[in-house]
Amino acid sequence: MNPTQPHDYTADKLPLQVKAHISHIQPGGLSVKLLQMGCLPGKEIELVRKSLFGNPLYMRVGNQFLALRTEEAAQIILQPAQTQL
Amino acid sequence: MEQQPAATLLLAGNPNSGKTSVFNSLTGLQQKVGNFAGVTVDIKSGITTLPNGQTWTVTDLPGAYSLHPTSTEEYLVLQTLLNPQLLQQKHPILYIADATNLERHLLFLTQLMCLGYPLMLGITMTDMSEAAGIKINLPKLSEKLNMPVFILNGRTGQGLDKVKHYLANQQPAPATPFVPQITNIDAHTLQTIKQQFNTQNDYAAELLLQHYEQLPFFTPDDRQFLSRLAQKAQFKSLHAQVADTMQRFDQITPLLAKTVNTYTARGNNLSLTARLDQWLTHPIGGLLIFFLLLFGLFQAIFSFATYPMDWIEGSFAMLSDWVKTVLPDGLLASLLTDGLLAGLSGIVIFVPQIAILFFLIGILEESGYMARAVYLSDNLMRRFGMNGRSLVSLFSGMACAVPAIMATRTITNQKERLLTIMVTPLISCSARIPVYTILVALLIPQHLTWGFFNAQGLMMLTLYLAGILAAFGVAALLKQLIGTRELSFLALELPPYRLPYWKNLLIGTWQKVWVFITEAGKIILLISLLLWGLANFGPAGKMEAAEKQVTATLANPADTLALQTLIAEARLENSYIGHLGKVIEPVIAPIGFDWKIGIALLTSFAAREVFVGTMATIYSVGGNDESNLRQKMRAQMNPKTNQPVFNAATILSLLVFYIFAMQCMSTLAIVKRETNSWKWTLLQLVYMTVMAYTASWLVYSVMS
Repeated sequence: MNPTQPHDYTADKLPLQVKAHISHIQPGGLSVKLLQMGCLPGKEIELVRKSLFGNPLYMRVGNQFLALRTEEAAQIILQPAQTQL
Repeated sequence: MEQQPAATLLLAGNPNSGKTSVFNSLTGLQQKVGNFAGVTVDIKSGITTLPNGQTWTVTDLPGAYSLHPTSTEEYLVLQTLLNPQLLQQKHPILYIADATNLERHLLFLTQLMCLGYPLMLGITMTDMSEAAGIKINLPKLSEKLNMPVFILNGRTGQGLDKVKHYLANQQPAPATPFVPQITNIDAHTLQTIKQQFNTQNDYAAELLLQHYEQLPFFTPDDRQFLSRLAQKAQFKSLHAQVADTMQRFDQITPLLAKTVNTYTARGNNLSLTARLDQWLTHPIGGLLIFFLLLFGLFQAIFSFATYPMDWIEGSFAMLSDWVKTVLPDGLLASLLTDGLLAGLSGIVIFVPQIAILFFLIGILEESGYMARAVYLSDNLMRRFGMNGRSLVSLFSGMACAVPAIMATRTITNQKERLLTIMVTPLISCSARIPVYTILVALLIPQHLTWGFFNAQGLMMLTLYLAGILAAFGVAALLKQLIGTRELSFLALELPPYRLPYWKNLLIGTWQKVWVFITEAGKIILLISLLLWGLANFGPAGKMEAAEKQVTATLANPADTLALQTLIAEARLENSYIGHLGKVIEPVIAPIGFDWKIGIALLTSFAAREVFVGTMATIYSVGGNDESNLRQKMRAQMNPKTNQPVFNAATILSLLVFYIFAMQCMSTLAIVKRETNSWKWTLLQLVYMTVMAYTASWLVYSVMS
């Protein structure tokens, strides 16, 4: 993982109800918090629904549900779609 | 009978781990809630008895995800566990983890292991994990972690006897470090920290370097020392925190792969939650349900509480009458009834509202709904520096600001909480209703209507809206002014829905009531006695002289009711508070108030509704006849201008004053208790008074 590279595929850009896997967490103010809450590399992640104005997001990470603001979800870098099984 | 506790057991764990249920089950009602020094987070302690007769203190640390804090509660946990004294004493810790999500829950545990605390692992929610097809190999987990592991259920008490038995029979040994070596700091720097701060623990030394800025037990010199050290070693705290966390998960994940079998991929404990959330967190439907719930909450406090409140008022009135018949008429009787009993009644009267509100909030929190409320309203509330839990307080504030401000405890972000406390009293509470009612009735004829709308009703609505707008406006302003070290984030767990546990609800409610009575009660009683003194004493001889004059000039001394009301008026006028009213007259004249209104402003600081009673005394209205009082007020003439005192400008000015002014000693007392600071309490008093005065002045200037 190379944090200096720009990442396009982040959790805030997930289409609704599409599953993906977490690649890693972008370094930043909330990276420890996201890891602590179980947003770990390799975990399956899904955007379950959006709130009224599209922010915050209702997400499933592994077997738990999390509410994340879009800027928080943007810190979660996803694995490219083609490497998913 | 009181026995000195033999030792201390700490409870630790993530939020939503079932820790509170375990704590309540261990200690029952023998709990104390203490404000932790300097921080307004409650640390609860209780007593439990072991099978060998020893009593232990059990301390419930606030829920935390890890030792790298992002919330005030987590800072508190870090401070407590890194405290040099506690590190020395090494109290055993019972760590509570949720079986359905062990991976995440074990992170904090492995950090505690590295600090060398003696540990026991209590696994909760095994009923849910079994339903989801998760099977935990307990002996193997216990062997790998090298600590005893128990299956616990706080609701049934399952497993707690085993914990107690274990504590009674052996001295828990310090845990073995989970991560054997500190890799984020070079050995030399580590050694320097350990020497300087007299600790043998590597991980403690690393944490000191990571979080020294937030640790209260450090002197400025200590901080400077560590800051220089971090610079020299090129230590990047955030980077090291991520590395520390990842390093732990890199070991936790394979460890759980060997000890936990998930033999179905159903993950089915979530299906009910997922189905409920389709409705409850629906972008529009979910918001509607939330506002309906808030409205129900307000209704419940507002209407259910009136029955016990009437009963309390009635009982205190009876008690007061009884004291008056037993004691001779005089200062002592007056002190006991109008001072002490009135003060006590002013405390007890809040209990029904507090109890009902906290019981209902308990249901929302325990069921897991509150997290959804925060999610739904985040977009709106973050603009005002608050969150979804603030809405619960603001809505409750329509019934009474006192329980509403107590309810802000559930807001973990201190800035959001402070903002909510600062603006909640601007929401028009039920005590303003009597004041609004009489003034609106003076201003607007009862039968005036525009189409469907009753003019008086519209006026009342306007008053309420003005309060709500003010609350949000002030919050938006304060959001810019108050600095914070905390990040603004949501990142919130939406826990599975669960039935609330009645014991947690009852204990939680009881604690809130008790804290209010013992802590805010002191201040309320004090101010109440002070106000009594000011209204019953005056500059030497003046009150008596005035009383004699009234008796002498009254045409028909046989009319005792008329005599008594006139004497009451004369006494109040000549008391200290009456003089104070005249002293402040130059200040309140620009907003259209005379000294008589000034007296009512002062006395209604006890509670806003006292305004009506004081007006009745000042205008010598015997009994409780409101229409009579209205007529008297309407007939009052200003001796200088020969115009009515209560003209439209003055009434409106008075109404506006009561929307914004902090006219409530009980709110003041609870704000002091909840912010743990006179600074914020006085700041609130000042800003609300200034705002009220300015708004009244504007209204009065425009109208006259």
